[in-house]
Amino acid sequence: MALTETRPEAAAPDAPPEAATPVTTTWLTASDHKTLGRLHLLVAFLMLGVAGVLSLAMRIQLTGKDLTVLNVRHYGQVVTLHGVLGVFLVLVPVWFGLAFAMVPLQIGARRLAFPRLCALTLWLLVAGAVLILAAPFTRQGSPSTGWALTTPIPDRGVSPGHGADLIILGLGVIAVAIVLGAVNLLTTAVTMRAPGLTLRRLPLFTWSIVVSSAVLLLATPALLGGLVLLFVDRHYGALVLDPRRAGDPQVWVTLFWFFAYPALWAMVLPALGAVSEIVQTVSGRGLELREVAFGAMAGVGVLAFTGWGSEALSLTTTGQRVVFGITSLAVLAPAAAVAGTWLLTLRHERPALVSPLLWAAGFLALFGLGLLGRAITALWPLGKAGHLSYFSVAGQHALFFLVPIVGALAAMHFWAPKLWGRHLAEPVSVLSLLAVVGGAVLLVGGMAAAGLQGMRIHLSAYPGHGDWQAANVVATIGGFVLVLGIVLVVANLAVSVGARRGRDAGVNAAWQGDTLEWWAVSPPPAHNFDALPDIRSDRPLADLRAATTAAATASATASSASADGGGG
Amino acid sequence: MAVATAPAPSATLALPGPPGPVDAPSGAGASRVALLLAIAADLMLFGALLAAYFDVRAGATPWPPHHVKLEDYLGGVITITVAMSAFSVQWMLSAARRDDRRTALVAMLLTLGLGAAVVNAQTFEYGKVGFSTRTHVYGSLYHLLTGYYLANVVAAAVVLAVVGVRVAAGQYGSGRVDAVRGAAHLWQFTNLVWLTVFLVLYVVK
Repeated sequence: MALTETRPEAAAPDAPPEAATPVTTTWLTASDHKTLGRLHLLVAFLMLGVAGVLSLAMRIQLTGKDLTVLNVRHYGQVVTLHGVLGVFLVLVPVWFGLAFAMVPLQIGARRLAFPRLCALTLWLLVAGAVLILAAPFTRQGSPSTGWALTTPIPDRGVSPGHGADLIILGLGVIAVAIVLGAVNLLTTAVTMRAPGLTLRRLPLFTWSIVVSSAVLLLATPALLGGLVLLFVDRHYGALVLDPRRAGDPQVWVTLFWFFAYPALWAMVLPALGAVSEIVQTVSGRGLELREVAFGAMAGVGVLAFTGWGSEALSLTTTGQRVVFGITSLAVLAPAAAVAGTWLLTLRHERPALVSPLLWAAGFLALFGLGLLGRAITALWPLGKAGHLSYFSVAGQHALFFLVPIVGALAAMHFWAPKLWGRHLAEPVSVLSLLAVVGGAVLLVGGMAAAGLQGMRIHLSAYPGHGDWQAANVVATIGGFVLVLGIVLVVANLAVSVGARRGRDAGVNAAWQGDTLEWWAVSPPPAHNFDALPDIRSDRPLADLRAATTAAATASATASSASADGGGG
Repeated sequence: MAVATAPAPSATLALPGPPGPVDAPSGAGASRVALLLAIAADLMLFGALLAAYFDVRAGATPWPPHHVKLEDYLGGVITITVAMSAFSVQWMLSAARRDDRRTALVAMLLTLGLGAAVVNAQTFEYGKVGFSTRTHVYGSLYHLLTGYYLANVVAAAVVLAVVGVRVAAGQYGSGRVDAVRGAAHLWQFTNLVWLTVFLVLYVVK
């Protein structure tokens, strides 16, 4: 697989216009990292639509004390599907898409290390999506276990239907895709960097992708191993997870969370990298304490591997509560430190309030809420804000879903000139930002309040608990506003890019970016760069501008000096 | 087409040191890096299976169950075969480094032959052990660990065959050996997997 090598494509000076080939052929045969990146984003948005509809159905159900929009079994199935889709087919493809599209541009490469492996990653994700989406159409439907596929799936070798099998297979295919994508991105960042672009000079987004890919590379095999155990237990009579025959179902739970906890942080990391780029670019200066941000991102990646126990274990002993309380708190510190470098950078400036920065501000608000929520859950793991409370559901959704999504939307507004050759329309973009962040705050705020009033996870009704209703109504309203915001983003994309109404990216000065992706024209051609500038720092284009200004000043001084000399 | 626009490339001349522009990197050594990363992921998968083994082992008595007796001589034969293939694959690599295509091809075929012998011995043992994945949880874990090893041998053999044929065809050689090195790393990784499986199933038990 990794042996397939691509010859450097000869730059075709007069490539035939894309309109000549039908779009399906272009997509099916794509090996260009930008096209494939956009296709990953397309998959992510399609699946976001499905997951969004499922989530709204659950939210509508919880608006009343005892509604039956969905019966208990269907509600459980929707819980499973919305989680599986949201993490594996929204967060994974959205960050893979942005990483595949932007990392080669940021490091001055003409392609990914393995362009066709990138295509394989995309199509494996699509295959996984098909398998998972087929699950609800089996006779017994998808399992009602939540996305962690816990009891009864690992408890019994007996199959509760093919829905669970389809989800296990789909996740297996996606796990392979994640490993291949991580190998591709890491190899690209290691072997394809432009001369002079040392590891320490890596753009912050590329660095966050390096850390995130390393986390995924080492965490995802645990999921794959667990899925193999589930599958052979269900179909080949193995007994590893069967407690009646000396097996242990906790093996699956532990392997799953050994994967899932770091993997969720791996979805937050690229958002930290992307927002760092936005802050650096909009402020027009280098990120303050850049080394701290670099180290903190790596710290998040390392510490993310220590916190799995807080989700996988029932925390019955004081020892477990103390150890995993500390580890789940520890990972929050470097994450907050990255945000600290943004505030330091913006302290001296009055930056232009362009849409990427506004999205970054919205991101920061949600990020703060998410960190706070997770800290509270880590400190009081058993209480009304603990791991089985609806409060922790709110915290998880804030930090591990909404934060990555808003970060990705910020990144898409920032890099739209590179991704699509156009800017998105600013007024719509601000409106959608307000809806997304406002809706998200209402949603997680309402959920957290319901949790503090005693609501637990995975409830489909709460008869006799009328006081939970107000908070749930707020959360549902927030959910609808959030979805409206996402619809606005999609509409903005469709109109600005599809109908070519947005501000033309035109000249490359887009945001006066300092990293190599802004050296390529917008949108970049198939081979990205004809030639690269000399790289002597982490902001090569800022160096160039400074050198140009210095040269202009010098020649102006020289000419005025010679004019003075002539006069005297 | 696609000429890099502002700032003007001539501005690079104003920077100290040799002037740009420089060419885009070609990604030399990517195959080996990618295979090393894939090995790291593979190792984590192995770790997950070992964790399952030791977790279940800790909670089950007796371990291994009564009437389970693995034939030490079969494990020994596989270990010796694996050790020989560790040398033959390095022989292939050194031949590729010298551009000695014929020797590289012979070494590749020898390594694949030893790999086939290992698969043969292991499947022979499957017929002799007298239990299956369904018999008891030890049987499940025994087949998972050895099955994981066999799957790795087959995958590494495919990679080795592709690389070996490309060495024989002159596509890889002294000038470009990173894919051959990567394939050799992968093969040696399967050898380490066997050594661990041997220690776990035959020695530690």
